[in-house]
Amino acid sequence: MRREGQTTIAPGTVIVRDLAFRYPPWRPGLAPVQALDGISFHAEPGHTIGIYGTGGSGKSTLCLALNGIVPQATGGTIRGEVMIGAWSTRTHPIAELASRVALVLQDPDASLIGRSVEDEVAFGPENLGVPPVEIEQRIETALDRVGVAAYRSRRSSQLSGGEKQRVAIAAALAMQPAVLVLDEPTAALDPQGSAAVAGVLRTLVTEKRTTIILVTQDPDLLAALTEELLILDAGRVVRRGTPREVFAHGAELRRLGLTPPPLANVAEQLNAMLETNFTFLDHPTAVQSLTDALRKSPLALGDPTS
Amino acid sequence: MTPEHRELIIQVRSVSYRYGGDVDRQAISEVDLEIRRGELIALLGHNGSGKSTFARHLNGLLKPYAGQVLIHGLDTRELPVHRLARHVGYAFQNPDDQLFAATVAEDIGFGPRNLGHDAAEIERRVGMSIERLGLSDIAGHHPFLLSRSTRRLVALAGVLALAPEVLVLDEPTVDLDAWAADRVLTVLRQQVADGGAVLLISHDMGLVAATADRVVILRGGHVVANGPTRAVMTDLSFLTGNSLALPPVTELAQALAPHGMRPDVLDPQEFCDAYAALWHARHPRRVMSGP
Repeated sequence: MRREGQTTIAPGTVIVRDLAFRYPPWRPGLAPVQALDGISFHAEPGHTIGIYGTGGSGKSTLCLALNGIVPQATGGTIRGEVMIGAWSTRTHPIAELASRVALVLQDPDASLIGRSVEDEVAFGPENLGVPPVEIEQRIETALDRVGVAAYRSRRSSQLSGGEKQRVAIAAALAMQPAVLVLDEPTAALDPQGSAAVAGVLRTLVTEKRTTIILVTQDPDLLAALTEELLILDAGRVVRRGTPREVFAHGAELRRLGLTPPPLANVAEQLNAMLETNFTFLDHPTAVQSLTDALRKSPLALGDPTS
Repeated sequence: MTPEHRELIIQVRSVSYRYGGDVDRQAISEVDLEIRRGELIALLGHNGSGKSTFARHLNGLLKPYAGQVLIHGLDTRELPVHRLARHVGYAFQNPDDQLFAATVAEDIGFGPRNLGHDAAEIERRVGMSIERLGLSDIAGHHPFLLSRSTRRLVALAGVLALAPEVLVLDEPTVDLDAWAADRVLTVLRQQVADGGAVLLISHDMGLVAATADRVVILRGGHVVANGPTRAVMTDLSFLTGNSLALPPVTELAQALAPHGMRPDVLDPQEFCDAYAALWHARHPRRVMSGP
């Protein structure tokens, strides 16, 4: 915890209160585009919040509102408040916000500039004025965490999509952010790459108490990593809860154009076929529930031989 | 007609490629593959296994260092790229690699215009692509003002407008929302039903299991599997040996195999049918029961 002004508030605390945002019209004379409308949530250090919504639901705008790009660089009309610790992203300088909130984008080419991997990772801390010896340590730790230490002197432009995304995450980690915002971080990765990223995020939560805001179209990743899940539709939060609570509403999600995890679909379909009440999301709980249901034959109650 | 008797479109014969002639970076080695009409083939492998390098040989973006790629018997080395474009359409993983025009309709029309079609034909093809991908509401929009999901659909529509015999799609459903993913799947199935072929590059084991007729797996630039989907995608020891996972429902079915579950289901419907049969056998009086 760090003292900021009169109140003690951790730099990793994220408070979003009744946030509404309209982009300026993209051509004069046209109506402004309403991107977010009345979003509220609260994350303490070490929490992971998931954001799930279709393309155009406002997910990426929300990410940009967390580091101040929205509205400071985009213009537009904003209502409500986004606080990172005691800093309001509406007014706090973007450069300083960058020392606290790191953003990993869906397209690694948007954040890498084709230099050597170590230079890419050093770029952020150099701009923060971190001493060279410490930068060196940060590069090493960050590359190690995401498993690309071997590529340290390769040019990032020569890496595959998955490798690039891991370098982009390492570059974010080198900023030692209190809040990590990830917009589709695993879209370009193969299953092993995704699992590696999920592992990195878990470690950050447990070891560093990093606050994580995770936007992804991968329902399994949301189920595995998040404590609270917000469903965004046309800029509004239309449902929130634990992944188990949210993914139990399969029909509603599909109406919104979203997919529950494959195994949650199986649970729902079996419930419809068998009048059971399965709620599993992942493999271990599915195996347990489905095995139990086979064993617990109601006949067994009156028939000791079965 | 058995699959082997369908007309051959593409024949890849012992193709090898290395970037910049660098012997240490042999991207693919002695790859063989045949693509026939009506086939949906999935190509699996890790990042860096050579999938994209291989796919770029099919439309002549890359020419083999050794071996041959034949399209209807003609070597891609001897076919100009615009001729190849009639046979093989390639939708990139990143839509921004191919979008550039001022409106969605213009972007989609770029391919057919380049192939030298007349205005009426271009309009017909653009209309057909827009219709099939459900883009009519945004035909006049600028591609870069659309969400990434929609930009991917626009990029795919541009490839469809070339009416290629073989559609090569690199991770077509990644980061798509469910509506967009459904549209892509409909397009894939239609392509095959119309007598074309699809090469689907994907990491999504569930998607591959539910859609492909045949699965090819690349590892370190070599083909390590080429067989019917059910045989390849339910073979636990082979997949884990190649650091791949079973599709989620297949994995679940195999975990329940000791209780009598059939271990080779490929999609959720098959899983539920098989589990329900088992459940009814154990609950003959159809009494309600919770998990």
